[in-house]
Amino acid sequence: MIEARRISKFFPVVNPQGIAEGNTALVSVSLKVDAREFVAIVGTSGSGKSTLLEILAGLQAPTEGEVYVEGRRVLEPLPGTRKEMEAYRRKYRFLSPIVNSTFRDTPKSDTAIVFQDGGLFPWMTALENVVFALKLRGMPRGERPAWARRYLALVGLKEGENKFPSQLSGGMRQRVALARALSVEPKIILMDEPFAAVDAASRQHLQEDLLRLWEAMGQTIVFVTHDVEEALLLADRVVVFSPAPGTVRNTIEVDLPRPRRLVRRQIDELKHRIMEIYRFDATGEVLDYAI
Amino acid sequence: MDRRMNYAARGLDLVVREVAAFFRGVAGNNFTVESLTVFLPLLLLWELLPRLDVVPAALVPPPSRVAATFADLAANHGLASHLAASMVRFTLGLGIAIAIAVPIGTLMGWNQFLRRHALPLFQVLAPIPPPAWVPMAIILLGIGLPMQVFLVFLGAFYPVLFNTYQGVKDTDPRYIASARAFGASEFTLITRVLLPHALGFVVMGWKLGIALGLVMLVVSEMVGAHSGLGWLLIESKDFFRIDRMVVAMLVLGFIGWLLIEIMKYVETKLALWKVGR
Repeated sequence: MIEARRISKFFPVVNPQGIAEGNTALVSVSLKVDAREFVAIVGTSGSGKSTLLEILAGLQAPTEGEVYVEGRRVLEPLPGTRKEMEAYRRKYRFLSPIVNSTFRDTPKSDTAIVFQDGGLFPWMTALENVVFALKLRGMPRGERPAWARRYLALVGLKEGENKFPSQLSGGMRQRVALARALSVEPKIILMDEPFAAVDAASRQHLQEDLLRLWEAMGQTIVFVTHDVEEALLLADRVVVFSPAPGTVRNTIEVDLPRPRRLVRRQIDELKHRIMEIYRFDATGEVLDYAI
Repeated sequence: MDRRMNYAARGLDLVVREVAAFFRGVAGNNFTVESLTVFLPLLLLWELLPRLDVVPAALVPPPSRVAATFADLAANHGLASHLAASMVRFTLGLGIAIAIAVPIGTLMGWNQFLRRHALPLFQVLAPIPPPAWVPMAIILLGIGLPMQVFLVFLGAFYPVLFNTYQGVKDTDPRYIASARAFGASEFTLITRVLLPHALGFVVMGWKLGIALGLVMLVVSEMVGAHSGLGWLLIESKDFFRIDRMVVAMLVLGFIGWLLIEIMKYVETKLALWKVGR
């Protein structure tokens, strides 16, 4: 279970003239994801949806607000008073709050993350990539390869476990990344446009495999994508982001049976609705029905 | 005992195979048949011009003379001991430079706090041409091994430092995010993510360090040593032995070439994952 309360993110930038400028990525985003739920976040490029995902993963600190994953706070709360601010600055003088423990591998929470492309380490083979994640979880050395192979087989990568990511196709790379995320048996999987860089045929295949694995294993999934159709095909609930700065514009429950390719018409209707929201945000054009 | 012997035999076998592969690669990459069209005429000219008295043989010793001098130096005048003295200085200087520069560069690339504090110092010191340190090194350290090692160290330190720093700093943030998201400690992050990523840059730094280190070796031996190849050069000048100078120059060139080739080989071995691209 994930609970994000009024998350805002501001990137301060000081321009060469010394004047502070900045970029507001997120404004007061609240999001609640139940256990075993599949939530998709859609939005145009630059609407801060990836930033939100990184905040959920504890890879970035929000400027305001707090995140709870499985009831635990992801990062230390941000200071509210000036005195607290001083203490916070002093504490994180050497290392920023997102930095992990210096010598002890500490799996952050119950989350695993899959990036668009390039999250795999190119100097490790497919198998080594998965084994590395298992090592970080403190699995004994002897058990790692067999465990890793099991998950590679689960995502449909039987051959090529000794290939480097550069030798695999884009779809295969994402399968390895998915296997790596699943292998640590997380309760929550965060996916940042995982299938965006994959060709259409492989993407459909990957989506089906993802649903199959999700139905079998029952993780909570937060799936960020710019592809409205993909979101509607996969998720229980679609959170629509407004263009920058990102806010939650609308939430759409997709109460349709899976596989959703069989209910094309309803999917197209929902897609049309989301596109109307986008158009309204871009042009202010009045819609023909209420949202 | 048997198993240990087995390991030793296998290790030896591995070393032999690697060395053989290295020399095959070197021979293939550097000495093509095509290059002979340039080398042979030049050698021929070098041999013939002094012999036909077009240029004075006293100033331009022909290759045959150089070869004879090389044999003479090696047999009667301890060329090997000069070479050994030079290599001790060079290895010590380079080794200390790498041992200090790689950790500092890595830490500066990893952490912004350290970078902001330490980097300006190196940016101020690095542009000072290393030979400019010679007078100070002689006064502070005297003439001897410490001063020579220090000068080689100075030559090699900054290229290794800045290349390591750059390589670590330029690591794709996605790799760092992946490692941190899976719970890697910062130590694991450095050893398993940042350094493997920076490896190409680090080896590049070593190559530049070797080149500059050799320059500083010659400089230090010319001004403050009683042995070594640099000393041999300057001593030959005083006795007007141009043939000996040429031998010393060729030996120095050979060392530099060999070390750089070894580094190239190490690079391809370590960065096997890049080959597939």
